[in-house]
Amino acid sequence: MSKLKYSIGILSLGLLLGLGSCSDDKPDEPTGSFDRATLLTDIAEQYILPGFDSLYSKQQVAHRALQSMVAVPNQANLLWLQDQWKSSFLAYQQVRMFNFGPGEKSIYGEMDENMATYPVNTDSIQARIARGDLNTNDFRRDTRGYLALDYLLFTATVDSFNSISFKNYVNAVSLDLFNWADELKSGWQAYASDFRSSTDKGAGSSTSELYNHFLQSFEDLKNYELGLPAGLMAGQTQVEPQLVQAYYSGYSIPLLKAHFKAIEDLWKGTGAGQQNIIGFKEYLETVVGGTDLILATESQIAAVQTALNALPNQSKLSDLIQQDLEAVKTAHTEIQKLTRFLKSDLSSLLGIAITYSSGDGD
Amino acid sequence: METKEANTSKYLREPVSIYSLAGFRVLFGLCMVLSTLRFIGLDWVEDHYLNSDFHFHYYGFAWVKALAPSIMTLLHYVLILSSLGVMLGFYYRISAIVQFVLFTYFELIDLTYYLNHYYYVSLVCFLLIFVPANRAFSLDTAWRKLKPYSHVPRYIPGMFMLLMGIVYTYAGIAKINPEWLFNAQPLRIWLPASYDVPVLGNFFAWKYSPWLFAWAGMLYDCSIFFLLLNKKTRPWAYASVILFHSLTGILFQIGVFPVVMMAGTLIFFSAEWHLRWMRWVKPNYHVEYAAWQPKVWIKKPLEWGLAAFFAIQLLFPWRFILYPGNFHWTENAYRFGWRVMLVEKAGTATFYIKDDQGREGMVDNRDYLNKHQEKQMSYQPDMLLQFAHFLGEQAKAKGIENPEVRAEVYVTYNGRPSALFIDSTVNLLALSDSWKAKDWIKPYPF
Repeated sequence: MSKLKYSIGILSLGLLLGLGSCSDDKPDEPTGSFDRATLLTDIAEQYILPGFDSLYSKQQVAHRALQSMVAVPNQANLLWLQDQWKSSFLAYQQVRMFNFGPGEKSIYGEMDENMATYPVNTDSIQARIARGDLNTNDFRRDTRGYLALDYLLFTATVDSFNSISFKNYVNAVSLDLFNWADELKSGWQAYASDFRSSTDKGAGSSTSELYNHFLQSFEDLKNYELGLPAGLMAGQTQVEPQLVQAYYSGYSIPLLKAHFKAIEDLWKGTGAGQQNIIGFKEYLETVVGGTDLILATESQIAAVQTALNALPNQSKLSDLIQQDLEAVKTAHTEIQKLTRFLKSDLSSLLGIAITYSSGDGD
Repeated sequence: METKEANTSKYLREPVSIYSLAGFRVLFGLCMVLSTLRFIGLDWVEDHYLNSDFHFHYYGFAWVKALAPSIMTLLHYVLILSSLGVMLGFYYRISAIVQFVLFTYFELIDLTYYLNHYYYVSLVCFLLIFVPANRAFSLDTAWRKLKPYSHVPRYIPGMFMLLMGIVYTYAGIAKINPEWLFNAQPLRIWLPASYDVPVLGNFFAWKYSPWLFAWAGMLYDCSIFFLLLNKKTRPWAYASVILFHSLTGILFQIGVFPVVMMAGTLIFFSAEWHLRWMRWVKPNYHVEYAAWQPKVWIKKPLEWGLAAFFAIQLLFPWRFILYPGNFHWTENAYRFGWRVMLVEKAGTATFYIKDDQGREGMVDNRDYLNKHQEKQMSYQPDMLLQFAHFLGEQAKAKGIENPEVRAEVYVTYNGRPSALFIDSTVNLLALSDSWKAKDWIKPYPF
């Protein structure tokens, strides 16, 4: 039994040492406990649900505007329709990162692939119009969604709407977007309670899904909304301004800014009505090392804001790439500098499993 | 000295009862069957081996490739059959060989999925090939009428105990460092994240728990082998095995590892104990006294081979001493050393390819890697280098004659602000992996 006593002795000595070693900790040491349920509830109820409500109503208005234009094609109706498209696509920026849950309902791809693939294939679109092919349930996602309307509505004249096949196609694409918005809204209302209650930290938990899609959306913004059209990606030999999102409307910059704001809001904890809610930042406030990361992230977000503000809303990004590439590159660089704070540093401190289907650790 | 050596070797060769070995075989085979079923059930065959354009290889094993999807799935079922063969002791030798070859093959396909416990499983599978674990409580003796034995030389069950002892003790030694013991990192990151576990959550989130767990974990790992060996402390030790592995199983996503260790440590239990449950399965089970000995021609090679095996196991983890810098940071000599759940690291790696005209472009890692691959690569220098070379080949295939690839990699270590990990100006295509220290890794910055 002496060995047992010995080992108990070692164990208690260890505990004493262990406790003793932290007696000098700082008073502002984080408590280390964070309620993920509050994070998920706040984000679901004050960010995601209002976001999809807003998308639904904006797209409803946009679809009605389209029906008016189809019924009475005139210049005023066309301008109104274009404005409503902008407003609906802007609303989409706030929710486009929630590409999971109800966003995965279709076998033809996730929400963002169905609703916002770009660049669209204009030849395919024209071919579909010519043969009256109105199918929106297939893998040709580059013939539908917001960016198909970007092409169709902003290259169209009032005259275009005298063509039955054109009208039918535009209507089918707009209706598909409306159906998506409708199903996302009701889908999230039903899914919200599951989302809130999956509070663990494992792969596939709500916090993990949320974080992953937040990051994916950020990478998409960096690489596709800026990097690719500005010719900054590997394998490119020149700028490719025609690859910007919303090339035909030239509305890329407001969309880009709205997309970035959505990412920033989720991190900072700013709800759909600009109210303060629990976001990743509050989570960080409770963990060791979180304060440093908050400072670093906030200062880099400010740098990104400055760089984005240098891109005028009324300019076309495709023009800017040719006329003032440096400004675009600067925005890209500042966003790239933000990456590590949102990627490795944030995920590490959150202590959640961030791989998808994952595998084990040891 | 001579007599002492003679005594040791005599002691090691003394016949001991075979049942703890046979019991270990049954339990290990069962764990293998269950964990492979789980692996298939979670669709990991597809996720790990089939959904990627690129696999990270182990140094020296670039020739190991994944096969066609249907064959990979089939091979996992063959693995299950072979593990059943091991468990039941049915066509044992060939089952054990197939089990080792297949399991190790799956592990070698992609370095991304390296886990210490997979390495341990691979080593056990290897050792099982050479032992007569099927000579008791097996279908080979019951149906195939192979001669049953009641005793084997002590070193035969002993090698599995020693291997487990190395795993635990080395894992414990690795924890003896100020970061683990005094900063209680990474437990200060990991433990609070489990605040919501029923009943125990408050305890995990308690301010002092990280230090408590750090010290208890270190002491447990360092001492458990010896406490399991000693008959008097064994019941207490096994109770702590259950407690320790249950806790880690709750806290971390570590799959079947806790179960493997809880089952594996039963080899320390007496032959009588194992015989008791065997008799529960097969009433009146009994074997006449017969002591197994290796055949004369294999005896020397077997003993020397085992000695070499364990010499390597004992020495290899220490190779980090030969490398400069903090190996928690550089990852030089980090693997294959039982550094289990020791650090929290994550990286952000951005690669740039320069073409013949000097134009440089950024890579979206997602184009080639799955999330798991990208995550693992982002803080491990050999993997960064492999991916750079892969990108170089891609660029060449697209007609760039002399591409250059560099990477801007930031790594965070135990929650510290991320810092530049490698020289972001160096052309990674000009470098190749080797046993040498990687001087393009930045010094430990914290």
